[in-house]
Amino acid sequence: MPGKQSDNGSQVSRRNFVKAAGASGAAVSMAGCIYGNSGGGSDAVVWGFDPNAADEIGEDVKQLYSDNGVDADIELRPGDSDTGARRDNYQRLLEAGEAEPDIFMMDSGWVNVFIQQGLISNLSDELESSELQTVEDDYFEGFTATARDPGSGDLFGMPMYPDFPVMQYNKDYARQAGYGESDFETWATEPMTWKEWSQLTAEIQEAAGVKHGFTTQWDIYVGTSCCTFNEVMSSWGGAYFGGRENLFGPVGDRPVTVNGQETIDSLRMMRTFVDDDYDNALEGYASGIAPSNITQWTEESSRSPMADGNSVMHRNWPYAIGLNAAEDALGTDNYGTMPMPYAVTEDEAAQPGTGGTTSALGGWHIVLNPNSERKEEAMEVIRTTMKDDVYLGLFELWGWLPPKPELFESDRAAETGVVGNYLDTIRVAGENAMARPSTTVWPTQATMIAEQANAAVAGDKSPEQAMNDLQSSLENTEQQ
Amino acid sequence: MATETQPDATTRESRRSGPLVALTRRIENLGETGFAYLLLTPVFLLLGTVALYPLLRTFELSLYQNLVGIGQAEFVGVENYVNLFTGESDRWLPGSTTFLPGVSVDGNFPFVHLDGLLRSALAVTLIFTLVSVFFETLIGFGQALVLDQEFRGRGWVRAAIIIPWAIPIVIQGMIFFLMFHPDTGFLTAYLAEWGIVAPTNTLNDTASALLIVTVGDIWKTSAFMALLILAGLQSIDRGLYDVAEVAGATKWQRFKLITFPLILPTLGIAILFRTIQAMRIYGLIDSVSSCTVVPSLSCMVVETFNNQRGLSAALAFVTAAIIGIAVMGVIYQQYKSGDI
Repeated sequence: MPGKQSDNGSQVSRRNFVKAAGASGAAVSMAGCIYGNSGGGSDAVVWGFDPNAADEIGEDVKQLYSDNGVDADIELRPGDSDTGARRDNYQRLLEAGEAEPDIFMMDSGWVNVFIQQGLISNLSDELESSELQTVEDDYFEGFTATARDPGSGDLFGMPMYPDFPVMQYNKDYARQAGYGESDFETWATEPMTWKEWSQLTAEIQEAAGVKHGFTTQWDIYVGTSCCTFNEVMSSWGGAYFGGRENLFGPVGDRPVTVNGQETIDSLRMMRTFVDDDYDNALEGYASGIAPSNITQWTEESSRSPMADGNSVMHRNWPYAIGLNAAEDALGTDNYGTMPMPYAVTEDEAAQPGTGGTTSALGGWHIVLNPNSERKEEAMEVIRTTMKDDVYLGLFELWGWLPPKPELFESDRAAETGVVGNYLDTIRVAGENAMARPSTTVWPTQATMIAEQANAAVAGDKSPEQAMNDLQSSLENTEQQ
Repeated sequence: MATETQPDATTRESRRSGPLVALTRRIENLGETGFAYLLLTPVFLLLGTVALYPLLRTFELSLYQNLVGIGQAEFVGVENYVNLFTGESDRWLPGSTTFLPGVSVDGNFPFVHLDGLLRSALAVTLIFTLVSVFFETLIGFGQALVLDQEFRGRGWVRAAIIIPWAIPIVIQGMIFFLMFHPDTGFLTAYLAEWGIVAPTNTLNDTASALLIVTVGDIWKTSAFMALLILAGLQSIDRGLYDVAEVAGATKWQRFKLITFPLILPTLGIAILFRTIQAMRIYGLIDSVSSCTVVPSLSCMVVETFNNQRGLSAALAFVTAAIIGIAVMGVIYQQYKSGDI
């Protein structure tokens, strides 16, 4: 008998079965080994990059760096289009000690979190002192501060491009309300008070018969905590943690100040803008100029009504100018910008360093992976980024603003694309930027802030109640 | 003249010796049960590696703090679990989320009061699981009973019922997101008139968003239940119905005395699968609303992973333990009824 047969008469012996299984296992293992050894192998500097830009202008960016003296090949590796997902992915890569990407584009709001977690290289140890001095002297200091360790002042990120939101408006509708070029010129650089601005918006909305007066973003997401609420609160003289100097810590040793009257009033103002029948409306402010939809809008959903001609005013980042003021959209003749309005001046502000026109500070830096196996070539890319020609080239290619104030003044910048027409306003915004309080506890705090600010403007809670709740939540997170 | 005899294959093999041959012989001489276990051993090893090891590693991580960032991780024993159940860890959960609902007792009926029920990750997960699995079972059962009948176009109806199940979670989430988004949604106004959802800020209102997520899940997964239950229905011996009909049993009696008892084991397995899946709800919440608005346990694991990894591991382990208890409950029921 050659082997045991099963009851159904199969002719496969146990011996043959075990042999076949063993051979299959060995084949699979070999396949695994072969596959496992096949990764990597390229000598290019791998750069974790913006996915849209990598797709649209990737080759131009490589050429720009090559033209400016980078010998090494560059591979642009697109990150996730959702910035939160991209941050999580980069954190996992760096924690796992992965050598690639060698350099990352990193949101100015994340860099301090990565610094405190010890995940990125200290560029102060890698750059020459003259290069560090250039960053010190020639860059927007408010923006560069987000790339520094708040404790030591060391530089961990090379500023790539800052981003400052501005108030955007439809000039055509303003003309229908009787305003003209001289007004637009004034508005471009001289901020109004929220009271004046809201009356102006209501007036234009009525004159032009537009659906919405004002569109902005107030969803439960980080954009509300870092930016829209941060701007409005600061322009009223309020702050999350007792003023500008405490933005980056020390966590636990800074006061939580969100239940101050100035912050509550800033939310009352937003609620007044949304609700025509708000019992606690601020006197002298136009009511009902913004749709209640803003509590579910982020950047793109709030931009659509403006692009479609359904809004007078729109708060957004410069990318929205590039899209809305393009010739095939509203056009530069019909599209204007102004600095964000304010409620109190710097002198009147309750919290130090706040008050006056305030734009949230966004933008991205380039950071170095400490596990990189091509550190020298990666530093060459970072050093090349510092060249004016590269900054202006990136501005020309994708509208990324140069992080040096003097480049704003250049003729080349003014002649660049659609956004070049609006640099006066963007410069004012840059000079009055407010960073988000980015510390290791910020990701947790950001969701708390967005939830309460949203509830207050949606009318689910009174501003007082929302800010008292937020006060105690933030105090809890500060006690690490 | 000596005659040489050719040895047959068996004799040739039996002359070999060595450990490999001994092992082969041992395998050949195993009984049927022993051989079956031998063949199952690689599967057990594989499952042990891919399922048990991560669970044990998660438990190990849950005993530490400061796992992220500079400095040494600190062994804290079961402190993460204690903090979770005492509310100390609530400050690390997104927004105003808590792990347990607030419980207060006083003299007013019903004496025990739950505060912030929909802000509690545990309560939201259990509410979602109970409601979605209940309705999915009910609807799935109904669909299966219909599909079990002979009628023209049955194949098309089956295909139509399975379509929602085939839709990826993110697409399904976007469908429900768009139905209630203020710019594109068409359902909010109608449902708000009846007080079913909030008229504004709908997707940021916990009660409304939880309802939408639950309905979305029922819409998608009832088909899964229907298919499992249908498989069970079709395994019932049709002769039993013939006998019952001859005996004069009504339709209800046939259902009560034949269909239901015989489908119960399948139903148990189907409910078990769905309960496990429902307890892990995350993707649908993330695409329709957000974890801050609808805080499920899996959401909390994801939200705390990058900052409070020990807490995240503790949450994951507690979620696994709750699922494990539910699974054991169903398995025990099946064991008691003699189905396994």
